[in-house]
Amino acid sequence: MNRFVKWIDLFLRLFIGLVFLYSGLTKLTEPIENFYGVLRQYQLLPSVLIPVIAHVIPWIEFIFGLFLFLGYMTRLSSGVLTLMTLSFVALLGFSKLAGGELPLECGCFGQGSMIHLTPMQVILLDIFNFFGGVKLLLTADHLFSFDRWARKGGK
Amino acid sequence: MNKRYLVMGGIIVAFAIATIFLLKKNPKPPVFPAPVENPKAKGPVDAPIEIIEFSDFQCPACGFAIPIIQQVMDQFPGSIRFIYYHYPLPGHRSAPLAHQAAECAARQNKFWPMHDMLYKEQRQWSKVENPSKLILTYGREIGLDGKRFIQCLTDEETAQTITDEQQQGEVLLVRSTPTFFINRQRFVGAGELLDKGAAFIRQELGLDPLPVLPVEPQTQKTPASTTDH
Repeated sequence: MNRFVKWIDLFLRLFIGLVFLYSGLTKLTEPIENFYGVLRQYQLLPSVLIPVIAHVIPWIEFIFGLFLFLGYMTRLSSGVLTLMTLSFVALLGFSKLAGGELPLECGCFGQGSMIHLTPMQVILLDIFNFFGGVKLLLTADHLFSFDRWARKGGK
Repeated sequence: MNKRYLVMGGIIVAFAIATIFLLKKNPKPPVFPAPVENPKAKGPVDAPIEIIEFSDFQCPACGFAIPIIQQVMDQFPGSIRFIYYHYPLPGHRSAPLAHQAAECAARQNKFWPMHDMLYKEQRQWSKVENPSKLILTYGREIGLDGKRFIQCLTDEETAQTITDEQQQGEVLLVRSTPTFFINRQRFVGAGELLDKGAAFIRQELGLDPLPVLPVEPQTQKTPASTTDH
């Protein structure tokens, strides 16, 4: 059973890591102005914050997504990404509650990517990522992770 | 945390940053020759500012952008050359016909009246199954030669012009409409055009930046841009 749970954890780690890694990568390799345009669709975001968010979020997604994928600083990375997931859900939820129209496509994966999700699909993915992230946060040891390798002295 | 662990982290981050800089793309439009006779352009040919808009006739955000574009043009009279590029989005069923109609109108030097008509009546023609009849009516209303217009609506060469412009947009990584290039600098959405675009134009013209005014609450909600998926 314990072994089975470890494999589930491995799947969660690779999946969530890859989601964020890809999401950050597609945004970072596109012209940043395209992401400004996406963020402007969420009318709750103050326009002065848009450039800051557009520059910072993709890097956090990319770096911590990569860390999680590799199992480096696994708990910190899953904590950061879980908080980000919560903030995405909050943004979508508050935008909807404030009566604003949600964009047809969330733009979460960068507009040039192969993945295009509606805000509803993204909320479902975020809920999955949130619970998966919490599970990873509560787990100390991870299969095939950099952390485990380092703990064993790099052997 | 031991030193070796942190060094490995640093290597991972350095590798990640290098990957991004290697893959980063931000193509800018080439310096287009400015043909004097371009029916889809307005403003003086030798204007110091060139605004290229990639736009879709069926995109609501592009319709909302029209007064904003006008507002920006009015701020800098005589300084802007504005050029329209077709960029029909794949999900918009009636957009190809609307763009064909506009291109046909351009061939009779009536692009702008058709442009204005298509955006004004966007809610009407974009909702019907087959908007051909409505489009023909618009052509009549703006005074097009009906016979030429009807022939042109199925003309492959005209369709190719639209495809060519759309492909230019794809090369430039245009992902949503409206996307503007002001002197080759990208601005996505009408909000960006108004906020940053106008400031950029001032900078390009060597004018002093406007003082920052307190932000007032938004009274009318307008979509910033429409994505192509």
